[in-house]
Amino acid sequence: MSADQVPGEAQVGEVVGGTARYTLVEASRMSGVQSEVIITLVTVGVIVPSGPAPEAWVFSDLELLQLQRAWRLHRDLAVDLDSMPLVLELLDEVERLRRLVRREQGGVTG
Amino acid sequence: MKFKDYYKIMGVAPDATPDQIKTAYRALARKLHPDVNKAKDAQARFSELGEAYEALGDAPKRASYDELRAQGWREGEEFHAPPQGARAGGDPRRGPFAGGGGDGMDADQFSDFFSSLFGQRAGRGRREAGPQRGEDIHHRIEITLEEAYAGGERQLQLQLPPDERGQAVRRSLRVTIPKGLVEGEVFRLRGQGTPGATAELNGNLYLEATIAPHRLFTVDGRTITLDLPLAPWEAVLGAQVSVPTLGGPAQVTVPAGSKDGQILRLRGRGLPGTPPGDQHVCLRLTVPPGATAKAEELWRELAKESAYDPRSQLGGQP
Repeated sequence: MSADQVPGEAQVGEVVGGTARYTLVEASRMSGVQSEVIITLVTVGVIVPSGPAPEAWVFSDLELLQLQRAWRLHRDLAVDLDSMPLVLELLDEVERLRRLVRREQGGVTG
Repeated sequence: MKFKDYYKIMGVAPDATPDQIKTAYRALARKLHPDVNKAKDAQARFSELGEAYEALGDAPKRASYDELRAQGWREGEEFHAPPQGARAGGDPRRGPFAGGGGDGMDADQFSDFFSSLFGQRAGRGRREAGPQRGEDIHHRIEITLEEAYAGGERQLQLQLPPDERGQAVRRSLRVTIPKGLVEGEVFRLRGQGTPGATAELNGNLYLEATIAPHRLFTVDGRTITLDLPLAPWEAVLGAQVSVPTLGGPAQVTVPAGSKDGQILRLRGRGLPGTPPGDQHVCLRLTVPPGATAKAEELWRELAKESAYDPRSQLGGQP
């Protein structure tokens, strides 16, 4: 396990959503999700990589995060891969609405 | 090391059937999963649930755990593992769930208490062949609107999955928050996940930003909104007012004849980005409290002078 960082030495945070692109093999290695699972997730429409065929697919950083999220839900909660797009959509929608409520409640009152 | 009450963690009776345990696990897992539950302790509670289910969902493990309970062990008592031979399932490293993974890098390892009974659990996700990469860690971080605007530096205390000895790990980390984050945006600290076979293969730490409610502003994406209270005469006659923005006060011209609820846009004064967001200034007409006799007289005079009917749209009622 990593030791504590030396105090004062700040780790630089970078916004995810940059221009980095990964092939299927790289995406699998980076995300820890097996290639076959990634292919299924693409087939059901969880993510839409650019490129016509698996060998030509390229994935972005954000898509990698989405793959990992889908994989965790499948592994931990047995969410069916076919239902995954619906589940992710509903989770995102709930989160969006929660934010809206937070914003309404957290704002200045007239 | 404290004795853990796995039944209590799972919210089932000690005589629950395997099916009841499975059902309880599924119901709780759905509630506590960190991808579903955004509470700060969700990760820790979900790991604890996983550990309890690993112990109770497997008949031999449950039998040996029940035996300890039958010997009188109860939650919170200082627990010492029985000698090797006494453990059900024989060599703990050869138990049904033990030893298989063996990479020592599973982000979901269990507590000291669990390992003392059953040995360390197997790794879960099988990976592609090749050198072992560390796991990515995902966390949420609440930042202030000022930090979203200007970036900043933070000392973080991260609650990490237990280490190979089952000890809860807290890691202290100084991080630079990039400027211009919006709600829900994720930023990455390279190599700050769990260690891989080599330093280049360390996992990453991903932090999802949530913007804390602000005293003055509300935020939607890169747009920030401020309610600006105006006196009636300012709305009617127009005014030059000093308006707070994230970058410091700005002089804003309120046009004559402004209405309540109207929005003035300050271009580029929202959160930075390409393109940067705007600040919206929402005009709020307010009425001065308690008029003096003189003021009241002036209002009456104004009322007489004005032919304005604010309810002309309501239809016919005088």
